[in-house]
Amino acid sequence: MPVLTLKVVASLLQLHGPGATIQSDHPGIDAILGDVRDQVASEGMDQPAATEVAFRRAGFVKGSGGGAFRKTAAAGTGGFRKGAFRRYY
Amino acid sequence: MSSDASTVAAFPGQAISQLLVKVASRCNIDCSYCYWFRDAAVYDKPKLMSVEVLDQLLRRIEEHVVRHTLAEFPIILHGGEPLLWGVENFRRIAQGCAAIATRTQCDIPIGVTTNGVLIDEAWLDCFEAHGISVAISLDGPAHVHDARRRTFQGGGTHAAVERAARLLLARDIVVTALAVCDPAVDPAEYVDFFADCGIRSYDIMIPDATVDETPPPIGSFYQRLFDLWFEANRHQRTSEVRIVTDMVSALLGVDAPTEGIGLRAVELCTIMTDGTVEVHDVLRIAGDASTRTGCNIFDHAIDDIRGEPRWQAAREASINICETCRRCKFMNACGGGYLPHRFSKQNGYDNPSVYCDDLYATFEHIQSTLAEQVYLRKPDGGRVAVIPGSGAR
Repeated sequence: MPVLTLKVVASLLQLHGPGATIQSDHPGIDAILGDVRDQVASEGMDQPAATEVAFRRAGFVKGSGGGAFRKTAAAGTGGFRKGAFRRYY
Repeated sequence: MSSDASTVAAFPGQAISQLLVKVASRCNIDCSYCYWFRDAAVYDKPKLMSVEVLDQLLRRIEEHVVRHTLAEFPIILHGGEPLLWGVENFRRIAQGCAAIATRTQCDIPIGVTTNGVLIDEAWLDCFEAHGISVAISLDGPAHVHDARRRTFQGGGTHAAVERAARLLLARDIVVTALAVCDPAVDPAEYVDFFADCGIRSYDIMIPDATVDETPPPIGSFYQRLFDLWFEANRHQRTSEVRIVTDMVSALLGVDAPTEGIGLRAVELCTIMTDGTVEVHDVLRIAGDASTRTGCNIFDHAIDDIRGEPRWQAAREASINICETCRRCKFMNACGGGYLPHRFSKQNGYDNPSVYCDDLYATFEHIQSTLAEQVYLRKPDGGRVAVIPGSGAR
């Protein structure tokens, strides 16, 4: 089974024209696909992103590929990937 | 993509974009698996970062964000046990970073990774007042946690840490739990424990081991963990398990945010309690003083670490993966595994991960689910399988 790449995603989207989207009915996977959509939109398909990785032994951080654990509006709970911040990569 | 000069060119260098700051070099508990004290050189460092070093660090941070016009520069306070540094020092660095942010328009979020034992109301007030995010080391249920995270007297720490986690969750503080996988334990025990605590964001990290060791297999643990995450989030998003979402992200072709997953350049560095600057903290697994460089924040800018041979060697090792990995279909998603897990005394980092078979099996397992779950919706509403031959549903 081939492995998905951004290049494949971008090509498929291009093939099917405006309005085509990549998605999943599984909320957890679809949230991650939001990052795919963002990355395809912002970077196109040609360049691997030269972004910084985050320390594994830390829980946060917004931006620069941190842990993506930011609090959402609900107090006292951990945040979600698409919570109160956006990752920049 | 191949792992040669062209690969290196595909990962151009950039400014150091976050800092791991060791504010305490000692710890108040005695965990059996701690990588930090494997390197006796840490005992050469001052127990705590002094005010003089802190003030110089703040100067270097401001210099750095101005020089590179950074929009964001996260700082992670670490140890040893960083809370040994004291509330007042946390306030001092938070206020210093806030002042820099005001002057430079660079956001400087602060996080701390703590064992949680010392957390009390004063700490909660500090974290809340300064927006400090907290990662608390908590290995799930008591019998798992207390088997490895013990006091110097041999007692368990779980009760204190669970109490701290619940206190944090009751306040307006960003909380993540960091656990280390015990493959002999059913992942459901971790998942159920964190759900009961109300911790929705956590990681269950792969245990540290080098190629020279023979750790127990972890593949079954992580495949089951994925299945649990998948079921828990089937109808609505209920939890984020970082290693799972990192692996899913990597398989979907996006950059996983943390260093253990994916093929990206590791460009991390560590500020020690005396102001010396070292290579990425975890690489001390390669032996005593193996992360030491000639840099310190009194004589050098933060980015000067990029000129250090050891820093450069670690960076190149992170993207120059071994021949076996270069032939693997999961090369980009896996990235050869976490760098310390690739180390051997004989070959350095030129090895597949000691967990290679487990990682491969886990990626294969996740990939088979993604092939069924991810589809392209056409403008006319029709669905197309994203991965040819898979049955998107």
